[in-house]
Amino acid sequence: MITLEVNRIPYKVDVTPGTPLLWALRDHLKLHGTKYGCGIEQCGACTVHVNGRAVRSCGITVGEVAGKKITTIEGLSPDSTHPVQKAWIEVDVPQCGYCQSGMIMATAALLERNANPSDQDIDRTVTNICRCGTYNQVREAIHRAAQIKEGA
Amino acid sequence: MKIVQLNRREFLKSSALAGGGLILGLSGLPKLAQAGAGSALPPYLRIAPDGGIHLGVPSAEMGQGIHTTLAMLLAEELEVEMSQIHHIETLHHPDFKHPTFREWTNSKLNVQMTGGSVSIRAWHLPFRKLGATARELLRTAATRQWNVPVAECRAVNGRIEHSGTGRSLGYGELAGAASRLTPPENPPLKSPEQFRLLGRDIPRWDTPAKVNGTAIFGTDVDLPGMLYGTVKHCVVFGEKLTGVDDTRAMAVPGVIAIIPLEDQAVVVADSTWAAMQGAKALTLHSSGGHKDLSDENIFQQFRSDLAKAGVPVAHRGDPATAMGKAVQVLELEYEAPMQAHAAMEPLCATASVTPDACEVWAPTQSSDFAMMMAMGVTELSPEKIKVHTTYLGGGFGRKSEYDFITAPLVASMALGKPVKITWTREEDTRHDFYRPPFLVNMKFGLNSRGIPEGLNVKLVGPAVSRRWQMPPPWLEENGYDWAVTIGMFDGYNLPNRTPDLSKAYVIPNLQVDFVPSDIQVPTGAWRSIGSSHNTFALESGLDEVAHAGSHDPFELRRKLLTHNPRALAVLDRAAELASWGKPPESRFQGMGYTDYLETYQVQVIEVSVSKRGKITVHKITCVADCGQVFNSHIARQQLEGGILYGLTAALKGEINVQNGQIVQSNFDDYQMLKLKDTPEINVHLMESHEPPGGLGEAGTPLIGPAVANAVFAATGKRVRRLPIRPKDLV
Repeated sequence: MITLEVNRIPYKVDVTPGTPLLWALRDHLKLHGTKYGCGIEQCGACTVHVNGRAVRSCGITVGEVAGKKITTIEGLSPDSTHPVQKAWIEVDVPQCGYCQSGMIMATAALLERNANPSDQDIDRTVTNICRCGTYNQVREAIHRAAQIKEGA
Repeated sequence: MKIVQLNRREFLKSSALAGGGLILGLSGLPKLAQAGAGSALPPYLRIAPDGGIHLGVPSAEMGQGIHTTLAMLLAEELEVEMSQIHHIETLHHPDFKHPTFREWTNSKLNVQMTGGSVSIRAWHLPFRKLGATARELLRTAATRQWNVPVAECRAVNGRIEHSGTGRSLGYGELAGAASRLTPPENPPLKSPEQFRLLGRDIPRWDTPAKVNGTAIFGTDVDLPGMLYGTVKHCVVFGEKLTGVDDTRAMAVPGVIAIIPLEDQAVVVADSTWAAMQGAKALTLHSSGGHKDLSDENIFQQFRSDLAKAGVPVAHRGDPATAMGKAVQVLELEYEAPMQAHAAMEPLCATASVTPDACEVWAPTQSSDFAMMMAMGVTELSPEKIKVHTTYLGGGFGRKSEYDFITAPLVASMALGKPVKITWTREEDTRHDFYRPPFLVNMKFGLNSRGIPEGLNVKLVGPAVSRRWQMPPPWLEENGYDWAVTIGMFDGYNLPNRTPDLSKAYVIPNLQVDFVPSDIQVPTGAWRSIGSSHNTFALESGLDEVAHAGSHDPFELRRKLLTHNPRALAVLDRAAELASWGKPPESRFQGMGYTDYLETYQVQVIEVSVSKRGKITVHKITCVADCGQVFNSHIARQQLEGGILYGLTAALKGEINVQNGQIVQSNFDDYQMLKLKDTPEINVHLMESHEPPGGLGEAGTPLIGPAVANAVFAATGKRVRRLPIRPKDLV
């Protein structure tokens, strides 16, 4: 049994320490908002926060994150009112939506470190893959989220 | 270990779908069924006592916003706000067999399916009529209750109001009485001036669930007692499994069973991760297979088949004479490699099979194909099978197949528990039904002014729709396949139909032939099907014709489309918006035009190319006349998304086959466009009252040639094979 603190709740999870965090979240804790896309940290669909930093949960093991604070899309806000979620709704970003949890989590972590990211900052940081082609709306929503976060 | 043999052909024969007479009954619809028998409304529209609308729709939601748009069409006529739409789901129902596919195939392909950019085209009127029918029933119910004339009652915002007395009743209060009335045959539909919702940027209904992680995709299905699994295919195409060595796989903690099938093994475990580890540790023994297969010999085969007589696709005038009289003949050859679909959600499905019932949950573009597979595997009759369509994490044509439904069905039958199967990205990439590779040979016969008077085209590549054939056959025996010929002076022109060339470029004499050249790699529908290779060839070819005759590419297209006012308007608007002919310093422009799916569209691209051949796409202007637009936000999303899907295929990876197997496996070696690569895209929709054209695929085929034409303007190097590789430009 390994104890994981996810969205401020401690869980006991019956997995081997080498299990990727992604699969503990999805199959054991039934937190399905975090998605599997590639398993090799390329696509970002599985992005969560570990101690406030964006991490691709397919590439980090349960053993590595035990005792750390993990946040998934389900824990970003209780009612979809995180500035990034608000901006996403305002711009109406998603198409199929499968990559969007990861996009939102990557953006939320970015804004914690950089309140007003430039386009270059966004290019460098939000490297998630979207196959529906929402990128320009993602960019717009990131800028909008920065404004909302600053109270605009 | 016994290998489970599944004979797909037998499924097809045994399937009642084959005759088109499958009646699934309404037993599976308690969620949406009206309370009480004899309801006037079909079971896919339910008005709850609280006035909330619960809606079942034919089309799968795979990102194209179809749930929202269909709900808007209904809500417009029903006089409710979108906030009153409490539930939308894709429902498997006999009323939802696709009328357009029926029309194209003389009623022979009679299935519920989402694809071909025909959801709105087929369903916009039925869904408005459904809303109008319900509205009239509710009005009548109110007038009977009040004993007043119908003309004095109007529907407003989910209520029926009586003008004389100010009384009103909510829809929820009237639904019971309304459901016992006889529905009107032809309820009046609103005129466009009366629209409150249609044509506007109404927020997508699915967005809230997609920003908080609650949207249920195929991968997210969760059932009590469920097991998890994955699949491992034989790597070489055509290989058959002869046995497995599962000692190491069974030793992986959590692995429960290995089930070998014809060409793959299913690994079942107590978690997806354990199943994937088990699959990694599993050794497959196989025989046969096309081990010599490679890109090189596929294209060699195409080149030698080019000499063969083809199947006629389109014909006009007297091409032989015109080519003979030509002052200059431009012979051009274009090639398109394979591409995978690479939807973000890997293939997955869940099944729960008991001796007398079966349920399937899948991100499928065709619930009928899933049903067919379930009938074939379980041998249960259709009324004992239920198919649930989840949200699709992208489809792009891949999820119109049904191969991914097999493993969960077999595993659930074998183990007596529900099983969810999730493919690894590697399996998804290496066992796709790829965009078919194609060779397009064009001979343009130009007159003394450099205008094409004749055109001979040969398309060489595999037919893809033959696999979707079920009895009765709906394709011609000669091998003609609309799914690969569309886009080369050929619309959806099915057997015994004369291609409609009235909107096409005026090249007065032309002959297009298709030489079917089958390959041992599975190929299928990839967003925009045949238009993908055909538009690349034709739009690049016209650019070559323009340069050969010293015509401006825009002016040449205008000359060839003078008979098509919608095309001309789109061309002119695009030239104006993109400042055609006046690119900014050190940038170069290219353009293309298509009428794919009756959406008249021009894209103008601005690029720059570095000395090392690095291409930067700066700006894309897309102007489209797609007829009537019901939700302009979603329409723009579709065009922009289609463009970026096509841009990835034009600039990034390709799928290669060597030694009978796919070379690429994941996003590290099959790269995708990312945010940093995404140019500014301006989509402009023309105001139009024409019937809606297709949008889901329309943006995809045009971007490749438009970029290639811009690259030619920048470098003088003509790109005749996509993707464009920097090394080809230096």
